[in-house]
Amino acid sequence: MSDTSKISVLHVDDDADIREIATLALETVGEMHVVTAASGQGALDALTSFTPDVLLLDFMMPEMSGEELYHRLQENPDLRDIPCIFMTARVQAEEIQSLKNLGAKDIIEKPFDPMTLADQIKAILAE
Amino acid sequence: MSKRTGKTQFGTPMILAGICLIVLVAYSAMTLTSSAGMRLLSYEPLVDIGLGLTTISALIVIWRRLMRWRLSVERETCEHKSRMKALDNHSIVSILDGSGKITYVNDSFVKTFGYTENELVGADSSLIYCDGQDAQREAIRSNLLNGMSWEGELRWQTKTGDDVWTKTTIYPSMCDTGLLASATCVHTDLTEINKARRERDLRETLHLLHDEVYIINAETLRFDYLNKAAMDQFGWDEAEYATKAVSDALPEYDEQIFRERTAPLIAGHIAQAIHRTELFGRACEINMQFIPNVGGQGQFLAVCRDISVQREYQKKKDAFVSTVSHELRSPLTSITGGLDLVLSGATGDLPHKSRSLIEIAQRNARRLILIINDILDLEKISAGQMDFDIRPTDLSALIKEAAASNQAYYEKYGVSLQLFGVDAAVEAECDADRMFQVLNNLMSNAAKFSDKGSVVDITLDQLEEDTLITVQDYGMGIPKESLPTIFGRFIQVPGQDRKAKGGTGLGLNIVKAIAEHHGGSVTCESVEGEGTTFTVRIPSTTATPNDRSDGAMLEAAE
Repeated sequence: MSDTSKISVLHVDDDADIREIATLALETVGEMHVVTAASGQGALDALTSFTPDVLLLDFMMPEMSGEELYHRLQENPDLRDIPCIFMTARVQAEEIQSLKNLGAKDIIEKPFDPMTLADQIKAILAE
Repeated sequence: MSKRTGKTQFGTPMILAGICLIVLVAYSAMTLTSSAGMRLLSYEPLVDIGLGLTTISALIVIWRRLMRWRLSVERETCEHKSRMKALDNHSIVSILDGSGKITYVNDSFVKTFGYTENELVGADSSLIYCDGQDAQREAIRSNLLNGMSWEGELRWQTKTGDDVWTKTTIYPSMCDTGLLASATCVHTDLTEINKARRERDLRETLHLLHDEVYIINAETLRFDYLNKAAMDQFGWDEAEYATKAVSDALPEYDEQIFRERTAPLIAGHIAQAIHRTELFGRACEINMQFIPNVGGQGQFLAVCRDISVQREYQKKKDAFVSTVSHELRSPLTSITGGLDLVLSGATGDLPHKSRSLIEIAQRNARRLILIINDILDLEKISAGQMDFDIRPTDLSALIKEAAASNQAYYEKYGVSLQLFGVDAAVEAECDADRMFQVLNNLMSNAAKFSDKGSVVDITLDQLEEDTLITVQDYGMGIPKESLPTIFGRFIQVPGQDRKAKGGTGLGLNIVKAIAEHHGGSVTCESVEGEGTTFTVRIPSTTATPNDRSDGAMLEAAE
């Protein structure tokens, strides 16, 4: 694959536009390596051949939600230790709390700032 | 008056009857005498005697008829007298002269209106008029002036200012010249009837309500009235509820607690008490008011409303708002993200004109996000779902923090911030995040509406019971006519300058909601051209008025 010194991200979001912007933001501004998936199943498929440093999961997705995908990952000993950051447009306090209770590393609110997204992820990983 | 009339009626025919009698007696005497004389001359005595006897018998018949007629007149007079007496007892009678002055009142009139006869006779009839009936009075007067009587319902005022309702008939009496000589007014008092009718109508109307209505004797706590919905709730009929008290209706009733909670109502400290609770398996809101009763025991009016449907609706609405906000945020993420990246130069250089257009798009997309955030906040606050983490908070530190985070914004507007009273820690019971939001909204507003180069003063004042934070700018100020509405939703003071500043129109509404949730308030003073001062007041020890965690708290409402 590409440069191993770069932080690798698997970004899962059903919205193609957001995938494109996040990829651009993380690769151009944050110099990260980004792989994208359009669904939970797509993510599971990608993870068979690629282990990212961090998973960026959209919470609301059709078919398999971010939460469901997260549970699936927890069942797999090889994947359960990958830190997961949820992205959500639902910013109500109790919703964020319930995501954290799930075991999410952190939550990034949508709309995110593409200029600081990479920094946010780095800061979360450094915690 | 009635006696005089009786005498006249009876007297004239009696005199006529007397004259007739004398004429007849004279005639019959003459006939008899002349027939006796004629008998000698004409030898027709039998004819003459017959004629005399006929005359006498006719006389007797007439006499008897006359007596019978007299008796009937006497009886009629007597009936008339008692009729007049009954009318006098039953009705309120007055007579007015042509100019509307009172010339006669009966005892009932005096009793009803509370004036003495002396006060009434000679006075203008407007003495007992109510305000605002000029048109009706004028209509009556024009009827009477045209010689027509008037009949209808009227409202009057007694000496003590009470209302009197009457059914009234007024007959005019005209002079030979065709002018109004006098008017006789006969009134039937409808006040009690009207009162009873109104009370009955009110009760009937209350039966139609879906809300349960209870009227409770404040002394004995027994039920004085239940509407149909309330009766249905307990399966009681009218006879049954009269024997019941509050203790029979409430499952977990404690008289002491009930008395304690209703004491501020009786004392008049609060106008109504709202109590939300689960009753008989449904969510209820009970609204209690106290009705003071002059000279008797007061009553509690309790209206119980089933709010299960409302709750359900609220839940659906929350879900809707949440979904909509999500649906709006996702595309906005793409819009703002894309614009940010383009503007950052990550995609290459931008021609100058394109850049300024994209900046406009970016600014407006951000504004949309702010509006969505504000709407969500307000929805949460109004639904009582925003979590307030109220604890002792150092407001000095909070103000400094808010000032620091607004620094860049102030620099952009060329305005400087001055802080006063923040050297020592000033503690108040509040939610730090929410108070930060309040400070942030007020500070950014002040910067927006200040002139370049001016200052904004933030002052923290700890008083005995309250802590005050004032945010004062020396900018354009708010027009007087806009002041009453500035805390409303989507309110922006008109004027081109202001529109360019690009607020959401929700910021002050959020400030107000948060301040009030802390049991405090926010006020605004402004002089156009001189500046504006916002004052946030937070009680030093905060009681949370909307804390419904125990589900049994009485909430004071104005």
